[in-house]
Amino acid sequence: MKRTILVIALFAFGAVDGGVAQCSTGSPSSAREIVQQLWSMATWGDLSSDSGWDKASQSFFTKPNPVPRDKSVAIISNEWGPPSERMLDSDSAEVEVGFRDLGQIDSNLRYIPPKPTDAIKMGKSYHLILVPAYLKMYAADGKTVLQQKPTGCQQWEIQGSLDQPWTTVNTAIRYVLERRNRTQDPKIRQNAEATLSKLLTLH
Amino acid sequence: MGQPTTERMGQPPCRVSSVENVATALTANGLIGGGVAYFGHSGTYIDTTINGRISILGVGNGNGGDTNVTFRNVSQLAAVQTANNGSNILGTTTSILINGCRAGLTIYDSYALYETSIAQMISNNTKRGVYAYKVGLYMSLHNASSATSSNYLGEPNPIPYTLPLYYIPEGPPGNKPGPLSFTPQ
Repeated sequence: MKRTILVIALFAFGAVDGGVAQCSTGSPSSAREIVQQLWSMATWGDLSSDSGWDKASQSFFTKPNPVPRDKSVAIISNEWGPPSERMLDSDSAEVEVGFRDLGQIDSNLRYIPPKPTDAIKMGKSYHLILVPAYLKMYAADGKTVLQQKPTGCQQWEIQGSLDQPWTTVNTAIRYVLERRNRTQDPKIRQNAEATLSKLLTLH
Repeated sequence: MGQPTTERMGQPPCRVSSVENVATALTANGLIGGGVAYFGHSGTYIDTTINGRISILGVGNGNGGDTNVTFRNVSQLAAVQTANNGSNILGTTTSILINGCRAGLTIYDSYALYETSIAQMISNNTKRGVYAYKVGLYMSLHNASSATSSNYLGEPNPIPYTLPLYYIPEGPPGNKPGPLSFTPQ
């Protein structure tokens, strides 16, 4: 009887954690693909929402962290990557993603240009490790872990924590438009207009 | 895109966009007894995760890691040492000239974890001499010896699509720095 209840609970909460199990057939299984998924979420604007941040932080990182209080969002070029992978040993890898830093948008929707640099290229590197995969069952709030048990598989996770929300220029334009339309503060609306003008010149 | 040219009569330049392309260009064209000249991007790469500076040959325009030659993948160029039936496919007097910005500038390379330049790393891995500049390069209507500008600001903007066009080092007209030489260490 107990076993039946557990199965129903799993279906009810639909709660397998988002990491990628290495022994699951048909699933992406490389460190590179984990980083690709993270950057795809960033491109879609997910990291600038609380739910998207939580999902990315809990799915991909060894040390999930809460949504940052600082609501600034880093802006990067529309074109980034593709991530390149370098295996360090059988259970750790380094993945690099190239992009162009195009500045930030602060919590008042002000555009802050990037610091001048003599660099011709830039990128971000991630250190990933293989860790045991767990099947997690969450409570109705979608956050509280009620139960977890090892699946016997391994999954890649990025060592450390998610540092700052970032997104691409095109998504940043939508981000500013949506927040501008939600506020009645004339100063913030004015900032948004100036920021939009600037973002439209970037790629 | 980087354009290393193998100086073989009748051979077109090889277009390269990744470290694999560079290794192939050097190893798949037979014995190179003259010289190798690279035209393309080079300079500093910033890894924002570690806030570190890395000396690179930016052969590809893309953002993928292997579009750059860095400490992490330059060892792929060591293939030249055995590509000629077990011996170096770059002749004993062959050298590599890097026509790119600051490839010869020694910096603390955050991937290597010591002071070096991509020119030195290429020399170490190919076991051949490398010439490279420690300053930036720019397009000019004049060659280095007759240049009238110190940098690109002294050239027409945009630079006209006419030939000849020269890729010359930054520096005072009449006193342009030459490339530095690097030998295997």
